[in-house]
Amino acid sequence: MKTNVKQKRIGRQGGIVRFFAKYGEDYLFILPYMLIFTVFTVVAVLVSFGLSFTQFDVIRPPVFTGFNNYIRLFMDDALFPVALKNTLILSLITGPAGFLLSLLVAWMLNELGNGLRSLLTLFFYAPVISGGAFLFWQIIYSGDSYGLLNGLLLGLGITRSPIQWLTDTRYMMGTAIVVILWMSFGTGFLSFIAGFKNMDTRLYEAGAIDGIKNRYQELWFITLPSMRQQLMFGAVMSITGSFGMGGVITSLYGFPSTNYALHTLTHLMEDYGGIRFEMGYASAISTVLFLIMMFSNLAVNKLLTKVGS
Amino acid sequence: MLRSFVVLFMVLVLALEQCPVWSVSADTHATSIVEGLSGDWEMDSYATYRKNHADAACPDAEIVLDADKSPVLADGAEQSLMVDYKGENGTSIYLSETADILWTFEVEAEGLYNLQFRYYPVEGGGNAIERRLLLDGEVPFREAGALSLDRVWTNSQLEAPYDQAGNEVLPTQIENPAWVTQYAEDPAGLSDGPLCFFLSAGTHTVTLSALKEPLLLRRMAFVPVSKVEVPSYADLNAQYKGLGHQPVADSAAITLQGEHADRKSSQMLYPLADRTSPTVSQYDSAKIRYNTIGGTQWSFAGQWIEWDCHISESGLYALGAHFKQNFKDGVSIRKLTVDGEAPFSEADNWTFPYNGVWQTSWFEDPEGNPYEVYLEEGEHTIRLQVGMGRYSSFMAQAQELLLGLNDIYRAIMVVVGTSPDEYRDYHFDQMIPDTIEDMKSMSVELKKLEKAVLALEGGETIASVRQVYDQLDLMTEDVDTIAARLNQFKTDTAAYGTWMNGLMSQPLELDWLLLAPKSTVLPKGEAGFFGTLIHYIKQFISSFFMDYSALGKTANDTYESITVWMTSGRDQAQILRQRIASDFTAKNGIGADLQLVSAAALLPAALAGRGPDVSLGMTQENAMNLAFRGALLDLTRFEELSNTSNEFYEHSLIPFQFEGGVYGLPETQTYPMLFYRKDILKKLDVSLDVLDRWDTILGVLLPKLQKNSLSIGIMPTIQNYLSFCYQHGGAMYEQDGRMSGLSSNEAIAGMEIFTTLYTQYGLPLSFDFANRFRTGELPVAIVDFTQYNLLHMFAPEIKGLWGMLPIPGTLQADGTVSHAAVNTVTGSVILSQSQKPDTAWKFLQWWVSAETQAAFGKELEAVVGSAARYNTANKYAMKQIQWDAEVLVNLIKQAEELKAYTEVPGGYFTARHFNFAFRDVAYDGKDVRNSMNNAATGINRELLNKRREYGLD
Repeated sequence: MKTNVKQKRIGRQGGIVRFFAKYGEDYLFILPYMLIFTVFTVVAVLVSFGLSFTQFDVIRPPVFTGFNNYIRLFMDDALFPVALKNTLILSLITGPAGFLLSLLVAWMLNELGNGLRSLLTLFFYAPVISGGAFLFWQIIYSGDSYGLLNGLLLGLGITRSPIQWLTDTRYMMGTAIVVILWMSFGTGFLSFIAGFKNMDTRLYEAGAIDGIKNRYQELWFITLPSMRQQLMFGAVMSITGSFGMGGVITSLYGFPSTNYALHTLTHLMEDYGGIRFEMGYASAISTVLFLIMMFSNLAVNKLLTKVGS
Repeated sequence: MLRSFVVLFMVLVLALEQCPVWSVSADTHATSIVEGLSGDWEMDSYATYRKNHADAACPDAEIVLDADKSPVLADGAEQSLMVDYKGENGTSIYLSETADILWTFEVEAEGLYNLQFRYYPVEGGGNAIERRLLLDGEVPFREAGALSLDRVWTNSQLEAPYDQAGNEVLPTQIENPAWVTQYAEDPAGLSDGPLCFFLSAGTHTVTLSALKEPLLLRRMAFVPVSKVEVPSYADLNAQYKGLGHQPVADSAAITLQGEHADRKSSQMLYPLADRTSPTVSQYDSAKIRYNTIGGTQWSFAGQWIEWDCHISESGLYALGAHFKQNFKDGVSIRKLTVDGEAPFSEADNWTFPYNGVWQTSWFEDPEGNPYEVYLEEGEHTIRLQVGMGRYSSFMAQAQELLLGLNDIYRAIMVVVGTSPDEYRDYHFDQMIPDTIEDMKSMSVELKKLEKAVLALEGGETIASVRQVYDQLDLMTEDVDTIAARLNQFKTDTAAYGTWMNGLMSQPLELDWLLLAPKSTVLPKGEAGFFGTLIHYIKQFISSFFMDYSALGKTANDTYESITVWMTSGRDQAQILRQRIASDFTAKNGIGADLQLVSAAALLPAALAGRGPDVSLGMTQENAMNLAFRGALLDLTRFEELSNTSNEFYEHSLIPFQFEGGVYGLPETQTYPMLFYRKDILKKLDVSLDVLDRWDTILGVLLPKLQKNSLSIGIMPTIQNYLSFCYQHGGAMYEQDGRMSGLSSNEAIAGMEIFTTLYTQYGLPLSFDFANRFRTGELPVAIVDFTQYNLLHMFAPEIKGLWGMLPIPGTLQADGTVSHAAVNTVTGSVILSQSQKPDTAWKFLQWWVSAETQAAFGKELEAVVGSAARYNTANKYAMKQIQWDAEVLVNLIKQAEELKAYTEVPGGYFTARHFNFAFRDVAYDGKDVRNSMNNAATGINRELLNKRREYGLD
């Protein structure tokens, strides 16, 4: 037994040496990124998870309080259900819708000539490149009678007094969805474009022989299955994006939005973390948000395996 | 407040009874206040005045009004007589910035006179001195409504000192007062030479009414119209030839460095550092060198710069200049005087054409021959003054036209309202036939104007003028399109105003002036290709080594030093650094390392224990958020606190107080004021006292406004609501910040009225103040007083047509009127982790002191311009900052009635829940009391949470 263990150890050591001989350079190359990723992402996430079990006001040292924060969040916080509802509405509508829209537009663009396609791609992608471009919607939605949308409606005689698009709870969700859809042509959209461009055209010929009848069948049975990687990437980006729309909403609707009508989990987190300095509680919210995002990504992954079947 | 009014009233009554001469003067004062509303714009311009008196004689008599022989108006306390002051024989009188003075005098010979002042510009706020002149109780023409008398400024040091890194430090601008004799001239520079005043034979009174800045006056005199004929250059040249004057030798040439100007009319004319070209004298590719003067600061009519020079050889000199004029299309114009006189008639028109780079040129005639001036050996003074030159002939008219255009806009507005319906037939030709005639003649006038400008500047057309008359033509051709075109017309009018302002401003940056024989070859204005290339390469390389964030740092290691953080702009930091070096460190031997950081940096830094000793410019909310957590030092431990606190209004200290501690000292304060359009209210026949109270505003003013499709601007913010809350006796918090005050009956009464403004009176919920106030759609608005400067700078077309008053009040049970409003402050704090609290306290005391605040404010305004006027919270410094006397009175009146709320833990919930409550009522028509109760419940819960968290009872 003893010799056996020793041999095994030597074998293992030999394995490590061999492993490094074989992959050492590769690991060396990813080392800088892994270091930064570990310190600023992995550790940060873990610390946040740890803090969620404490009471921490940033300045004084944290105090361990067990599951108190989670109990308070699920049982006592009247805003949590509101924020959860808003988050789900926004991400369920804009995540998949944005995803499908990107896909659809990318597919259509793919049918166009090279020059025109590049130009239109730029147009659709522009809102994402220029970070603050969505602030333009502030002028469109301005509650002034000279705001663009109000001016138009008043001019056409449809409304008689300016509507407060950004502060009246009746209109806020609708206007927000429009803005977020407008912004949804993100990185996912680009990867779809790339996916369509890289299609092996021989597959289409083979498909035609095998009895593909029209372009839609071609899309469903050939194109989409062969770009599953891009779809996955796009979906993850789109869902993560729709969860993280807090900043856009804050810039347009103010913080907090009227009667918390657009209060999402990100806002709830910001409220507790940035304004009330209850970091422990904010960490608990962020942990919940993290879990929700992870599960939705898993779900999407499951769904996407169904593509083409 | 009330008592002081009563006392003032009684003093006035007494004065009226006892002194007959004063009674006359008191009357004139009263009319001048009414004029505040009637405004200057309705008066004749000087051009019209001259036309009306074209045939008047110019008698050779002189009427001297000595200062000591005059009765003086109401507030006699501020005035004192000075005998033989600073070498001036005779008695002179000190006039404060609110003191009016009146003479009664006899005129024997009827006719036109010039007006001359003999005065000494005593130190004041640093502005130009402004006075209004009334003849027989009336301003004779618009330009006399604000005559300005120059001050004299100079660099504090001849050569700029260096900082640690070898950069020059900007020399401060100090006053260099001397006795001055000056004619009354048009402050806008639109008419040439001294103004003429017509006096008929008989007894007259003349009043000099104070607008800005104190003044030491020796005498005023009506003197014969100056008849000094300035010869044309051709005549002068012939004269020189007859006398046998010859150009001087090359060796006699002298160069006058622009930045070494000996005198200038404004503190804004400080030396500039230019590193854009190697041809600029004292060029250094990396270090800061103050080597030029002027720029955009030197563009307003009347501003002048003077250089003294020693001429070593008598003879003919030509004048050259190295300058940059990349500021405006066309030319900038300067008027040249030598030893106080124009040498020849063309000297008022030295033109500096546009070019992107530095240029050199002679002052020359249109054919390109340099003008020559004969200078005797000895001392001479060269002055360059901003003038309108050839433009002056039509600028006055261009301004009249702008006012006319605004009138037309509002006349149409009265018919169509704020949202004109394109498809409705308004019958303009029957409704406003006169306006349509005005529009036709306006179009003709604009075309004439365009032609006149093009004759000078060349070119095809001026887009901004053309757009306006095209629009007018289209509107008058088919009056049914007026409504549809109104919006475009408004935009075009604004563009026209911008164009006109551009034409009026005459910026010029000057490197040097050259006095030399005209045969001299001027050096190139800009370096050649390789010179420029080397310049850029050097700059690029040195950019790696220069730490511009440490500019002006003079603290050396032997000092004890504290770290100070500041979050405002670079200019502010630069100015404060200089003040620290020249004042604080010099006096106390303590260094202060000022660092410019972003506002978000303080919290993390304080957490990490790497924060500064002192942090400046914190919002009251941020400061107190740190204080609740024990990150700030309680200032009550310092004994001098109560002394320092006396320099502020109590309400600006309240936000920094919590549970007996004081955690900061106020720096700036903002509060709402009421802005109103004098011209529109006058047209609607509304007197100013209507603006004093909400009930009269809603009962009298608003119906009149709304009949004319106008409205009142007040944003639905918690700040504005708080005025109502306070005026009804409510408060934001009760029980020392333990409970929200929003559910009290008083607070609800305030909310009832506040929400009614929007639900019943239909005030706009959202608007752009500056634009709608300019066009007159919102002739009355309640906004922060800091908007005053913005309007002043960016809406010159309504200059003099608007004013600022305390906000409307509410009648109290005891018969008084409360004008309460909320005050918001920023402040400076000491961090509790500071190792040198006593030193930090010394710095804090120095920084918030009246002296430092006033100096900082003045300098900031000099460097950045009056749009950056500093709203200091120090009540003594506020009086020294350059507000017009009339504005200051109102600002102080409001400041005395301000209230403030304590910041409490969890206080951020108040604004949030207020907004919810407001929107519930205003949008959804919910019950006020219910909404406010809900809000209070929400707020109270958070307050309780936070108090528990901080271990308070």
